[in-house]
Formats: sequence, structure tokens, C-alpha cells
Amino acid sequence: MKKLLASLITAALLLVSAGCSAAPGASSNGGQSPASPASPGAGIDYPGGKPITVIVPFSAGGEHDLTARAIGNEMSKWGYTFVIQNTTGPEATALDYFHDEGYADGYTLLMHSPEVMASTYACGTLAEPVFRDMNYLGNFVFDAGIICVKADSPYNSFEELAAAAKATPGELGWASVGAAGKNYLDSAQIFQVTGLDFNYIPYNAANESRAAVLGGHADVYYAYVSGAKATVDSGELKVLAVTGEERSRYFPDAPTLKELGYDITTGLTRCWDAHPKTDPAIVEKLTKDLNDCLMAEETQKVLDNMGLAPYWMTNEEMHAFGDTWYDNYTVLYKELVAGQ
Amino acid sequence: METYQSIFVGLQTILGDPLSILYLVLGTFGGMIFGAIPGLTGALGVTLMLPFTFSMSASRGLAMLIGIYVGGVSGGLVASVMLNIPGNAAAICTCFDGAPMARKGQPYRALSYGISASFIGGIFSAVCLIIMAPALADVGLMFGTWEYFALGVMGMSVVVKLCSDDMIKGLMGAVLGMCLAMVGQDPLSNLPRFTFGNYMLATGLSSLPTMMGLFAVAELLAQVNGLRDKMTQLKTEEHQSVIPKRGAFKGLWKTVLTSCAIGTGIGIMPGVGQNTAALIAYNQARATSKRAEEFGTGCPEGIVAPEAANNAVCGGALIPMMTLGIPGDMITAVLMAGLIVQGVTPGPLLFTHNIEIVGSIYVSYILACVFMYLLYIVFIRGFIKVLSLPMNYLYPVIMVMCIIGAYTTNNRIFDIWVLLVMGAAGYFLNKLGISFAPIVLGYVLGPTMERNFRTAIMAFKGDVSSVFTRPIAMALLLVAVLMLAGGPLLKGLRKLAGKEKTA
Repeated sequence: MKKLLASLITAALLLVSAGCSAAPGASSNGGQSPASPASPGAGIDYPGGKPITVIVPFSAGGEHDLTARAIGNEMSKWGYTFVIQNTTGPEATALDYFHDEGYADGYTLLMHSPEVMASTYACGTLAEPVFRDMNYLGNFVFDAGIICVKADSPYNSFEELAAAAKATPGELGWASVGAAGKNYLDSAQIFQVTGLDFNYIPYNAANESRAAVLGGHADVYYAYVSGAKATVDSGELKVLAVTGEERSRYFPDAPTLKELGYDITTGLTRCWDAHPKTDPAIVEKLTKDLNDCLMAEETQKVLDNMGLAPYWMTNEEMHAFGDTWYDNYTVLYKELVAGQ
Repeated sequence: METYQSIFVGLQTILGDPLSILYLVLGTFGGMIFGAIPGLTGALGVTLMLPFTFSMSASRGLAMLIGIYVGGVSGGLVASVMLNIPGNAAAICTCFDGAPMARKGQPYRALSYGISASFIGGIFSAVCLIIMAPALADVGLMFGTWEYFALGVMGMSVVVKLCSDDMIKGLMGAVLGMCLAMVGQDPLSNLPRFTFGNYMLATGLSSLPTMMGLFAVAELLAQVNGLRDKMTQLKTEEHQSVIPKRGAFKGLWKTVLTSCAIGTGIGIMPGVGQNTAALIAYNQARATSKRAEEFGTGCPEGIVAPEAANNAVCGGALIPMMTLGIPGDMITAVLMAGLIVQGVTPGPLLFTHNIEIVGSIYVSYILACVFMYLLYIVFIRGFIKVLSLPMNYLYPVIMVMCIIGAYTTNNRIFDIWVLLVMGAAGYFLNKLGISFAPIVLGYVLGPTMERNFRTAIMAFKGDVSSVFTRPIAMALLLVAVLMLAGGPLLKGLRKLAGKEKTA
């Protein structure tokens, strides 16, 4: 009886461990040699029915995670199975780890944005600019920044908010995420260009900063369009401005900062990337299929529902984007440090 | 009116679809198994199953995920009672009294208390969710940085009560817990702390490997010590059923309901979580009990309080997710992801645009609690049989499960090392008489306090006295002060009164 039970348990254990290792990815063996590039271009067997793990260094349920899951789900129509693996902790660590582990077989990808890494590199949190080596598999969406206030707030336009900020410099609370890095630098640049002085309050996640503004603990909600859309649609937040190049298709009435006369745009790309040593044929195939998937009507509809505007960029454009922002952030960071 | 309509639609969607019910039952059962196995958690179960729900209809997918959620949270209690090893972090407190009661030869009684309390907690929070969701969500929004800081302080003051036997060791444990949580990037300035140049440590000590190392691995090591002793099989002479006997809950209702309220309340606060709720409820039960000295020796109140609270957190955590689109804990965050991929956006509009989803969540949640209870009644003997296997079969399995669970948190071997090192450290801490409860409190609440304190200071431009302008925060801090000083103060007053009488 005991033996039977014991062997049953062992069998169950084997099953579970097999399930676990199959789900979070055939990635445990990062050192595997990359698929042999014997026949470049011509019909590589990729993904060959094997699941591909995408490491998403953000919590489950956040906007990065949702974008990744939506794309992964749609990509099943192109014969791919993606497993989204959320990891805790900073993006920069995930990038370093991904780079060092040598996930070059094309079955483990990473989600990160070059401009975010550029900001951490400019602030000195990322030691080496590894983001410059990565193969960006195109870009899915461009999520413009958005400036909102609570629905019952006295400010109905950005001008009114600006007037109030001028009257009481440094008094109005500006809720965003993180005390160093992209959001902080972007906010600082907005303050600089507009000549306004807000009290920057860093929260841990966009959910928390939104709750703070809804609860009246801060005045301005600075975030990204996708994160604000549901709350704006329900009439609890109102949009004063967006910070994209053009108006957001979801809030056609909200002006851009550029229209208001402030020369600044901010926003966030969302993309997956492959290890620098990945077989070029795999990178090419993945990029092409992801592009096809993004251009498909159904994918666009799914993303649209989430407030994410599809926006394709090539690997070269992504690198150029990251470099431009790195230069921008480096200058800004030096000025901020000098100002303190 | 809307509420009744949503429930009606929900009943129609779930009950009218046998597959939904099947998924719900399977989810609940799977969740219970995941919860019962130390190392595997309901959160892992929900994350693993999420992709499979994409191809289902929204109501079926929700039914399955909610089943795993409810089953996963309650599943932890079985291992806590039978092995003194918590199946998940939510069931840590259930060990304190559940295991001693089982050792006294009453495992079924201990389980019946735990299971019934879980059920009551779940139903209580479901009622709160259905009747008062929007109002409660507003209460949640009233909590700003100072309020969260004060909540953390109040939670920490629990240490004093929990460790009244040896205060110094209790405080040492709490500080140690806070230090463990400090490893990694500074929450505000992103500078690395205690990482010694190793970027693996920049992620911090993840919660699952740390908790499971301290509780499961350390306990395994301690019990393996006695492997050569004569086997102490748990005697189960009692009536072998987990349906509580008539009158078993007599005198416990106050504890159960208070714990339910604590659990629901904490569920509404994002990021506080089941284990804190259970610890606070346990402490609250002990502080108000007439037989406080029996706590830790197998007292029914010590089992019902944490179990009612940790299951009540589930319903509470669904409130901000549904009404505001702000998930109350990690599992509701995954649930939200599932909804959004289905094209449904949680938030206030959910109640007008997707009333069938609202109804499905209500009905699935209540049914999951009911199924959980029924499944326990049917399968508890099986669970107990498996867990009363000889240690030399069982422990290697648990160890492997812990290692798999640790690995799945970040897909890194490094987290397994965290598990093992914490296990070894826990073994020696145990030998030194430092109990783990304060370590957990420090580990969970330390970062909440630090981050919110520092953000509050920034929000109020360096003005610490601004805390005095926040009534809720002040009330919470006052409770903390009373908890700290209340005991000695009362004693002093009584002494004074006594002296006056004799004089």
C-alpha cells in the first residue's frame, strides 16, 4: 500500500516537474549552441512546434505583460506558441541576466524598450550599454505619455493647470512611477520645457499612482495612454494633454504638448528582442512574422481595445531611437545633478 | 437593482453552461492541490493556466481561474496542520495552532476548523463584494502614503504580542526580516543595496523562495533530525470527518467574523496580501481572547482566525480590481490580464458594459467556495493518507517541489540557492529560538513602511508633521501605540486600583 502510494507520488512529481519545465520554457539550458546556420535563409525549422519563452520583467497584469500576452496569443495563428514568463525586479537586471546567460537559440526572448534602458544607463543604474547589442524584433506599439487630472478637479485644460502651477510653484503633486529612470527624466524634461514646477511624487506602479490621484493624494497623473484609457473612459479622470508627436486616436480632443507650444514628446515603445548571437535567419523570420501579425486586422483590434496604438519600427529604427534618447537623457541628467 | 440583475445573469451564464461548472470544479481542485503542496502556489497555478483560458469563453476562463484562486489559498492549511509545514505563505499562521492540535491526536478537528473558517471567510467577503463593492473601493482610495505607512506600523506592532515570551528575540527577528527585504534595488532611487556587486541580488530575495526556505526547508531539516527516532504516526482515533460537530463553533463566532472583516479590509488594499491578513487576524484573536495563554498549543481560535482572514482577502482583492481596475494582489492581477485579453476592461464601466462578466465573477466566486468545502469533505482522507506517508518518501518529494517552485518564480537557478540558504539559516534561527512570525512581518511590511514613508515625505515636501493631518493614519498609529503600551498600561492601572483598595 505504502509502496503503491509512494510510486504514485513519484509519478505525479515527475508529471508536475515535466509540466513546469515545459511551461516556463526549454530555456534552462541557456548555453546550447545556436541552431546551426548550415542553410541560411532557406526553410529553417523554427519554431518547429517548440514553445518560445518571452521574459517579461514586469508584473503580470501590467501594460507590458498585457501587450506581450495579446501578441503571443495572436501569434498562434502563425504557428507559434509563446510562454510569457514574468520576472520580478528591475528591467536592467533582466537585461544583464538575459545577455550573460546567452539565450541565443531563439527560444527565449526578452521584452524591453531601448529608450528605457538608455535612461537607466544615463542614470548609471545599468553598467554596460548592452541594449545596443540586442536584436530588436520590430516594435509593437508606441504608447504616448498622458497628463490627466481627477474628473472633479478645477483644472479643465493644460493652460489652467499651468496657471495654477505658476501661482503655487512646487505645490501641485505630480504622480508618476519611479524616482529615477525614464518617467522621472521625462517628467523633469516636461517641467524644464514648460517652465513649470510640480512636486514629483514617485510611486511603485502605475496602479498605485492612479489610485493616489483618484483618492486625491496627488493632483496630476502622468502615465501612458494605455494605462489611463479605462479610467478616462469611465469618466473618473480627464485628459489635459498627451505628449505624443500627434494627438492620440483615443482622445482626439486632447491637445499635444507640441500644439500647446512646448517642444517635447515622450512615449514608450514596447517590443521583444533576441540575443545578439541568435541565428540571423531566426531573427529575420521572427521579425517578419511579428510584422505580419501586427499588421493583421484582428491584432490591431485587440491592441486598440487596450488603448495601444500599433506602431511598427525596424531594428535599425529602434537602435537609433535608443541612441537619440540616450544622448537626450545624458544631457538632462547632468543638468539635474548639477542643479541639485 | 443592478446587483440582483448581475447575479441573475451570472447564474444563468454559469449554471446554464455545464462546462463552466466543470472548469470551476477542476480549477478549485487543482488549486487545492497546488496550494497544499509546499512550494507550489495558487499564483503559479493561475499563471500556468492563464494561456489556456484565452481560447475559452470569458465566463469559462474566469470560472477556472477563480476556482484555482480560491482553492489555492485554502489548500495551504492541510500541510500546515498535518506536517507543520505551510503549503503556502497564507497558511503560515495556521501552523501555530493547527499543527499542535493535530499532534494532540485531533487532526480532523483541526482541519474541520480550518476548512470551515476558510469557507466562512470566502462567503463573507463574497457578500461584501456583491453588496458594497463601490463603497469599499472608495474606502480603499482614501488610503494614501501615510495611511499605508501607518498600516505597516500597526502590523509591525503585532510582533510585540506574538513574541511576548521573548521580546528581544522577537524584535531581532523583525529587524532581520526587514533587512532581508532591503536586499535589492532601493524602491525609490533604484540604487542597489546589500547586493555586493552581484546583479542577481539586485532583484532582491524573492518572496516565494525566502518564505518557503524559512518555513518549509527549515522545518524539513528540523524534522529530518528526528528521522531515526521511532516514527510518531499521528493518532487519529477521533471521528474521521471534517464536518464540524454541532456546537464546535460555539464562542468562536466573534473571532471568525472579526477575522473575516480584517481579511476583506486588507484584501482591498493593493499589495498587502494574505499572509499579513492572517498574521494580523491571528494576533487580534489572541489579543482579545480570554484564553490567550492557550494560543500556540492547539487552540481553535488560533486556527479559525488566520484561515477566515486569508480566504476573505480573495473577495476583498476582487473589489478594487472590478471597480477601479486596480488589482488587490498578484493573483487578481493575473485575473485582470485574463479579462483584458478577452477584450473586457475591468473598471467602473464593467458594471454597465459587461454585466454578465460581473455576474460570472460573483457566481463563480461563491460556487468556488462551496465546491472547495465539498471537495474537502470528499477528498480529505486522500489528502491525509498522502501526507501521512513515512517521512523518507514524503520529504524528498516536498523538497523537490520547493525547488521547482523556487525556480519558477524567475526561471533562475539563483532563486534555488536563495531557498536553500534561507532554509539552512532558518534551521539555525530555529535552534536559537528566534521564531519566524516576526521575520515574516518584517519582510512583508518593512518595504511597505519604508516606501510609503519616503514617498509621503516627498509628497508633503519633507514635512513629517503632515502625518498629523491624516485622521486615518493617526487612528492606525494610535492602535499601534495601544497594542504596544496597552498591556503594561492596563497592568499599571490595575495595580494602582488595587493599591487604593488596600490602602
